[in-house]
Amino acid sequence: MNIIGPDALVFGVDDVDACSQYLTDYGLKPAGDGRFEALDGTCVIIRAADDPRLPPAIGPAPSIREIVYGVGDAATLEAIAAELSKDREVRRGEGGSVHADDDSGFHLSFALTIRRPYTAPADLTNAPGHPPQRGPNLLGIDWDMKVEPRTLSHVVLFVPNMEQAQAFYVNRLGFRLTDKFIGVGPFLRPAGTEDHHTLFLIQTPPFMKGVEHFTFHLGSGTEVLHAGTQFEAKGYTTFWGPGRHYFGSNWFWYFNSPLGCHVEYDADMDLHDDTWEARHRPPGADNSQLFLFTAREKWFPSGPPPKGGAH
Amino acid sequence: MAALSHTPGAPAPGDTRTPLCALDALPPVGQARGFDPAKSGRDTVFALRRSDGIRVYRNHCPHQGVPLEYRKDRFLSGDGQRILCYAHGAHFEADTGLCTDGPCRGMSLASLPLVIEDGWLYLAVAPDSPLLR
Repeated sequence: MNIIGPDALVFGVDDVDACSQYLTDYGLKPAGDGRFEALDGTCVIIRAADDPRLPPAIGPAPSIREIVYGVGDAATLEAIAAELSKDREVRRGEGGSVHADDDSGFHLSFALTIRRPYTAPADLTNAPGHPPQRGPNLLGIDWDMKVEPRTLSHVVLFVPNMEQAQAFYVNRLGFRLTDKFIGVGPFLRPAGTEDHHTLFLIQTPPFMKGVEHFTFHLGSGTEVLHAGTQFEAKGYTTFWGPGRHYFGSNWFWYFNSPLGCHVEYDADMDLHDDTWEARHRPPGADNSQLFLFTAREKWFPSGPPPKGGAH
Repeated sequence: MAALSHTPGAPAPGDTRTPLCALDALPPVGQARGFDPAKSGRDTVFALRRSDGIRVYRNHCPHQGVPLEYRKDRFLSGDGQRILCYAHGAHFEADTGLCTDGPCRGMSLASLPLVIEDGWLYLAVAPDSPLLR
């Protein structure tokens, strides 16, 4: 099944204005009707919690209401519809879209992908011992450097039965296990992408069911640090980061949000193919990150010379 | 002139209470304001008005001990009637601090004792208390 990854996340919220401001400040482009887009058109959609267009909620607002997966071809839509119809209600919508609940009760839909081609620059590195990527007189940074979320990377769900939830995505939708935190949750990759994961599941008590976080890919670790610094300067609250994850190698910086979950800046994730063998590690601080920092206000080593006349 | 041992806003060593703000600097019912009385670099307590008085809570979610707000002073639900932890979506009663939904259901935010005097809001907690860090 050629499932590429999440194309859209739909939230029902109690403060539409706060969420709209938040997603705009995060860097997504308002595209009208509650839609906030990355460069490739993948998006977050914000609606009032009582909007009749939304599927039923699985918790108090704000909360996730629908996860829209983009697929690469119409045959995949038919295959998904045939597979899921075996044991659950499947509704077909516009353009052949397929709508059904996963085994944890999250509302999913599948549609031909909305991802549009785009190009964006790479963060070129000059590493001694390797041919330079940035030649003479090309500058690495600029005061005006613009950071834009490029594509919706992944969503993380709290689920009451992680093994059952994993089995649904692996056995029914063709996702592959890339890595796993033993007893906590699997990192899953659908067949239509090489990204380390587009879905991570975390075992929790049933009343916590919902989204833990989602993130869009930025262009580099530098972009994560720059975007997070600017976001913090606007008054937003860091939850975790900045740092670099072990599984997936991606840079991270998580923030609280009015959407009822964390929102992350992420970049530079590993790619995998079907020859990869999943690593199983116990969860914990050591296995979840290579390093972790706390941001601080910009500072400059000026002022009176230190006592004793050093310098 | 023995009523106050210091000017509000400038705590002195040995104080048993901590000034937060002039009462008229507290926002109306439906909004909250965060404070950093121990100068720790982030808001460690927050105050809000309710119909029957003022509440001050530690900015410390009983679930994972993290700050609640998603942005400076944004501690409340959209309608201003509940406290929300914008880390993992816990809902708290604004009057009592009791968690009614979310990962720490049944647990409570730590409510801090307060004193109102001469138009100022004080915490009845010493400025060097670990409650304010």
